[in-house]
Amino acid sequence: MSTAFAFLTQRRTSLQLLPAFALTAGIFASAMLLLFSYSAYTFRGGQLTEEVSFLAWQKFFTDPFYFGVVAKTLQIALGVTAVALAIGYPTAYALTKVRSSKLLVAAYIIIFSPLLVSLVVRIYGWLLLLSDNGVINQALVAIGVIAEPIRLIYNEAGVVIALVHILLPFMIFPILSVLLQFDHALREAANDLGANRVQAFLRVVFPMSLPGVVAGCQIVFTLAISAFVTPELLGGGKVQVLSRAIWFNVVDVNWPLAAVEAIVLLALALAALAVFDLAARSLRAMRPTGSPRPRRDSPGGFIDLFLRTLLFAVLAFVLSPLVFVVINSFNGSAFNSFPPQGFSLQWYRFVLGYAPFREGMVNSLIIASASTLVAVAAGMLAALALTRGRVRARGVLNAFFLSPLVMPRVAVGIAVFILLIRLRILGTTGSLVLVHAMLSLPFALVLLTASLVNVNRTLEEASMDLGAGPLRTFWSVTLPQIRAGLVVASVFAFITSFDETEASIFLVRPSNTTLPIQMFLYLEQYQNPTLAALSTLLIAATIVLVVVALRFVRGAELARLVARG
Amino acid sequence: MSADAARASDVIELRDVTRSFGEVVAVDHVSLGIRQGEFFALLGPSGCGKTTTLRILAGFERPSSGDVYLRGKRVNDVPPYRRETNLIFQQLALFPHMDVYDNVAFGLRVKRRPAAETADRVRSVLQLVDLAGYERRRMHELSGGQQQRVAIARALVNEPAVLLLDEPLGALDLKLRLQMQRELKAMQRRSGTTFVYVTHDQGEALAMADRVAVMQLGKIAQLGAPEHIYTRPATRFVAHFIGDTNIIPVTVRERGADGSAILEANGLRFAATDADARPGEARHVSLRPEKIRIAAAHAARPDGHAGTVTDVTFLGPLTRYEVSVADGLRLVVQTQTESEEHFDRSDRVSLSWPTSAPVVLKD
Repeated sequence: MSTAFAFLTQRRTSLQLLPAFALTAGIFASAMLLLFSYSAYTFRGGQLTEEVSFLAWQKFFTDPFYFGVVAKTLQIALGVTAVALAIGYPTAYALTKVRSSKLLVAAYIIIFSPLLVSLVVRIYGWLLLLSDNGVINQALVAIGVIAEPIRLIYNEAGVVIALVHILLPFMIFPILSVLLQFDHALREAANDLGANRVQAFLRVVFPMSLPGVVAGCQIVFTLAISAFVTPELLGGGKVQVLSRAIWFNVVDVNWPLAAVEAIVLLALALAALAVFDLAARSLRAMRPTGSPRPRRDSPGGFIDLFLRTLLFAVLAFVLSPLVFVVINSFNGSAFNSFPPQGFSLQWYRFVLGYAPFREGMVNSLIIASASTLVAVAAGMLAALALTRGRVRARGVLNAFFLSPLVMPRVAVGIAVFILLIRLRILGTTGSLVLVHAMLSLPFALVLLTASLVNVNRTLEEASMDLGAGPLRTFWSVTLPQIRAGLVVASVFAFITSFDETEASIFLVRPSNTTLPIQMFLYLEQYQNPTLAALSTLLIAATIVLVVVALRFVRGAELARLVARG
Repeated sequence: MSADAARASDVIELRDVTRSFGEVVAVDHVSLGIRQGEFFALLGPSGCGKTTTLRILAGFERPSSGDVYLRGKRVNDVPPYRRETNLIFQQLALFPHMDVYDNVAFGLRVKRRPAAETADRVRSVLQLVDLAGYERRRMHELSGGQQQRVAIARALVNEPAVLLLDEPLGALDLKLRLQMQRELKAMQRRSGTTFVYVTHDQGEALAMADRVAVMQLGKIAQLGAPEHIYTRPATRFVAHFIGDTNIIPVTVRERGADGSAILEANGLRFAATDADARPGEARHVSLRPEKIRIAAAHAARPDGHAGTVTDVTFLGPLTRYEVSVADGLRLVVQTQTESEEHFDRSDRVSLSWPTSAPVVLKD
């Protein structure tokens, strides 16, 4: 009897894991394996053959051009990480000192808002700000700092600025969460032992916040080495990084070389993860001995003034591209000139009438909705199995489900592209739904697991004791308790799919091109306020989505979830 | 004049110190002197202002009014890191990212002492707290008692004029707490450092301190040696807070030339020596349960008060009785279980006590 029951529950656990496993193994893992095999195929005279050779590997490792590409990739990623840390650490520190809870909530929302806005929209905003006749140059010329506009885009500076903007939240958040847990009795102890404010910070606060610094640098560096859209659009073809090399080789049908480059990119990402992990492990012994005590004092003075000013400057930095996108959408001129010349709604009229955007919007909505449904359903089942079932090698399985997160999107894109061609389903809407679901699954799984762990099991037992079966119990008792996690997971999955550009760009056909890719293509050719109008509409839609989502979720629950995630 | 003379031997002096947080007055016009080399306890329930007083001494709080003197120098505006005081925090606040040696050396390093001197002083203070050989241990590798000793070493190595301790034993279990009480007292004697010890545990204060200040609502209710505070409590609050006692509302009937008085409570008349009271006054008396003798009614002494046992609680070595005497007056009596006669509920008994036992309180 009991063995039969054990078998049943075991089988239930396996069944629950099946959809998530099918997505990750069937699309992601097989695509990656295929990528490895393609790296050994031969490209000769403009033709791809299945003849096994290592010509692509040989070319990559002997041609100094590729050495330069790798060096440039690492250099940009290091620069972005350093700048993000230099801005992000003091910003996080300043946030811990904000007393007014309204200001704090506003600052959080502003800092994390770029994550909710399409990548292409943000880059468009930076084009407006940084171009020769953009806001910054116009302002500098107007106040007489410079006579001629200086080059801020189509070079590394522009790429680094935009990447820092995009990745800054990933630096601030881990540092902030470590600083918020800091036990201020330790700082007082340092003061008591003779350390002044600066010494106490350097010897106690900063060393103890290093785990957050390492985590932030890890995420930022890993995302920066694989960035594609930003260097492509803001580098003006002059910033040659690995992701762009992959893109051009795919276009040239030199898939073996693209595969080699994708594998190298993947290796760099994994090496970076490992190095940062090693650093994090050596810091692990830093667990506080007591329960943390909140900050008590409120010393004013120069340092606080500096931190406050910096915080406002960073908030302005984060918001400015979005603000100028909105302003420019009403520009009367066809050029992205600043200040806007006259007020006009013509760009809105144009956007609404422009067929590629309209079709892209419909495609994106269909694909995002469908893939959200698949990812959240598969993630929910897998989370149930992983938290409730008896799963052997739970850690390995979990790592497997999360592995698409660490893979550079461009590498995933080329790998899945080859897979879908082999399966003869490239360009179908169904294939895009599954690929997006695979990419969203890690987010859904992490968030749903975090909320399931918090569920009070006693309530479920009480429900069963009162006569409700497992399904009824899940529906009436478990589900209400994880509602917040479910809403957040759905929003994340939806945004992940709706904003997906770097992998999808390999996978779409003109008939089912998604909106961000239409925008990307448009931005490569034209620069007029059309995109500003579209972006403004998207920002408005995002605000509506977030407001609606927040009606379902209280802020405290959200913060807890994000902290766990 | 006499205040100046007292200050010379006082390492710390608080003069009319008040600290308020908005409407709340945490420390209310407190004046006190702490002598060089003594073990001084600030005792009181939570919220009485003892921790705020300690933080004022450490420099983490500034008095709203009044002055703080350390070794005769006014230190109101001296930040914690320039004061010759060191604080043992309630949660110890050991630096988890450093080992024992680095924790203890912290104060000397930020003061830029030569490395050789630092090493010497750390070594000798670790010997003092019995942690030689633990230099490279991390904080999470130490037991609660060892962490305690690291915190003490980290403070003592700076040779502070005063060591401030904020309920440092609160987190420990009873057995370890008793052991650490003895160790702390021994360390204090060996180092000759002045200790100011904040606690809400009256047993801890009585066991360790040379002098105790009992605080209530931001004020000092009584200050003196532990025995004095126990045997001659000044107020109802102090009498209640320190040990178990009977508080009896009385009226002063007569007053003798030698300072003794005849008191009356609910028709019960008894004498008290050393009563600073005027006839006709309504006052309270503290009568410790262990000072009351209990005897069978048939063996009543001439000064005995007849009563009936209403409740008996067996406490191991002690037995506690509640006895109803006169109308509406119940007294708690405590006896040695082994050496004294035993009574049951409803037994008729007679209670008596020496005239030195009742303490006439101020309020």
